[in-house]
Amino acid sequence: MTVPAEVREHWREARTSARNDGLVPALTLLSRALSPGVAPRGPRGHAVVPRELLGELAESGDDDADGDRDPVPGLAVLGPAGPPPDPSAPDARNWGTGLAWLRLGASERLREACLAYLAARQVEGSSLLLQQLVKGALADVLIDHLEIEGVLDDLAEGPGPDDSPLAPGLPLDGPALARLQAQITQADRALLRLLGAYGFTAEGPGRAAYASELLADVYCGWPRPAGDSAPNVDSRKGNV
Amino acid sequence: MISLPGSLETTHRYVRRWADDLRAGALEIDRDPEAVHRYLDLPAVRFLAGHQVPPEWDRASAAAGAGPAHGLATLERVLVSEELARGDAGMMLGAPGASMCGVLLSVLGSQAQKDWVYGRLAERPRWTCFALTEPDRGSAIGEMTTTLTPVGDGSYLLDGEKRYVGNAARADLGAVFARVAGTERLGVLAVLVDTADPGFRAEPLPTLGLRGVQLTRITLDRVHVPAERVLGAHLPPTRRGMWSIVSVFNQLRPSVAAIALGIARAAHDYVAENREVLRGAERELFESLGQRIDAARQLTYRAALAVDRRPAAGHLSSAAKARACELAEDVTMHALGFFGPGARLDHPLLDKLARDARGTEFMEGTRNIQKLNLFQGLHTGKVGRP
Repeated sequence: MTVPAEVREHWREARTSARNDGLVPALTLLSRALSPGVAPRGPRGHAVVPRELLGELAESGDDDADGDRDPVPGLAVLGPAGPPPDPSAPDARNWGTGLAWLRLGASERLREACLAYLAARQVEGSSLLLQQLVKGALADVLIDHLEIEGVLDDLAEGPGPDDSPLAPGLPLDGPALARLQAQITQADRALLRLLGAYGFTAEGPGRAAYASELLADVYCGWPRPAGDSAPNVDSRKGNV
Repeated sequence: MISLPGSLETTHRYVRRWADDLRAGALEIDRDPEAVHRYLDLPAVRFLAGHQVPPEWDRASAAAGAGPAHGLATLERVLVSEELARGDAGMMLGAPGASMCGVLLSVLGSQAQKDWVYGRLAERPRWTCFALTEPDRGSAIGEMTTTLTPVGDGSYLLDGEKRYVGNAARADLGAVFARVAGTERLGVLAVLVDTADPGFRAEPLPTLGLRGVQLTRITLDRVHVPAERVLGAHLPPTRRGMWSIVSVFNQLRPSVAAIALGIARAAHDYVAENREVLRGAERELFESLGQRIDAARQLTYRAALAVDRRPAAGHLSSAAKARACELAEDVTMHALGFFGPGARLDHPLLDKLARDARGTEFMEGTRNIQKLNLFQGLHTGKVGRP
């Protein structure tokens, strides 16, 4: 599938915006770019929409107008309305990939917030940031971020020849994108753990991380359980 | 997607084909590392030894040890390492050739030193070794106690112990890192040694995996090092010490990541070849492991390109090395899970891969060391910032 250059540009902008300005401005930007005038719907028909855009939408669906369920101020959640889109359609794929870029930027923003928070916290006379377990946890998240960036960059740069030694062995299809989204969620969770109870408060950065999780849930869902346990097979025969 | 120079694409095609030959001797070398002598005529082994080149193998010049004409030496090594390790990492690492010494020479070697090493390697298949790690002190430069004592005529006497050095018992040549007696904590030099010189002794150290590389313990007892074997003496002081060591490690780490990737791919391929039908959760797991391999490959190739563009840009190398080694352990263990109880006994190649995967963890810094590097980069804003 060839992705138009302007769509790829919107993906990258979503990441930069989420990182610099926050999740809501980034979602506003991405929604206006990829789904103008229409609420982008997930596979089950739900939508998460910046409140700022509600007036521009052709249909409203089951808007929780009083904002009780708003994941973060400025976002509205919409219930199913009309037939859900085909998740494999190019528009849905482009939207889903754009959200991965956006969520990567939001996760990087959370990482920066974590660094600042931990640098200011003191334990036994030194910064909490300089505890080795904390350093290791942050490095793990950084590795995830760099790896995700590589995968998304590859998508944005477009396909190379199939016989290139660097061609991926598997396409980044729906389940693969779900796993990538889950990886972002897990990176967020790891960062939130470093913030202790502060990350659990509605005032802290945990709220934006929750909104990011909600976006992944509505538009992608959590990957199916992969079944880590060994199958009950005779190992010498292989398949049963 | 990263695009490769045409000559590198050709090299990849040849190396991929040659890698399959390595698999045939994998279990034999796992049982007996000396069996590598029976495989010296394989194209992959001859290639590593420097005695066979793929068509269009494009060097910058005809001088010994000249880098690739396309200028992407680290990317080239990554491409080759991944494929050959997919064949067999033990045989690849246990093959004769310049190996890590080649990278060290490319950073610190004078042309005369390159001529000396590559000239000897050209005579017949010869092994080299790279002696950095010390017993109880690891690879921390600041803790190093192996000592170079000046004799007065520009030469030195080398004393100390090294540990976990691959191929040293079969090597003719080696590079040894040591502190010059009386210098400050980071005053470390690398020197070339002839292992036949009096005072050099290397004994194999049995290991649980990657047995082909035959780790050793080395004792150095007043080994004479002539002045012309001191690496970097022709360079300005700022390019000899830590800068060069960091640069060498930045270039080596993507290759170790590639070896780990090769091991992971071998295990993943094994599942595909030996479990004809995978359904449901098993199919999901298999595909998920494949996606993780693809993602770690992208990271590794980007790390190689970053180092080729700027040798000090090592943070991606650390990330790739840490991620790929973690992945190799995960994939090889999951691969066993696809075959149920007794898989290690019924599928000895998978058992070997699961053991080999652990061996990549310790090369060029453990995962924890890579993470500390990464944290330092994050903290100082050298990585993770647009």
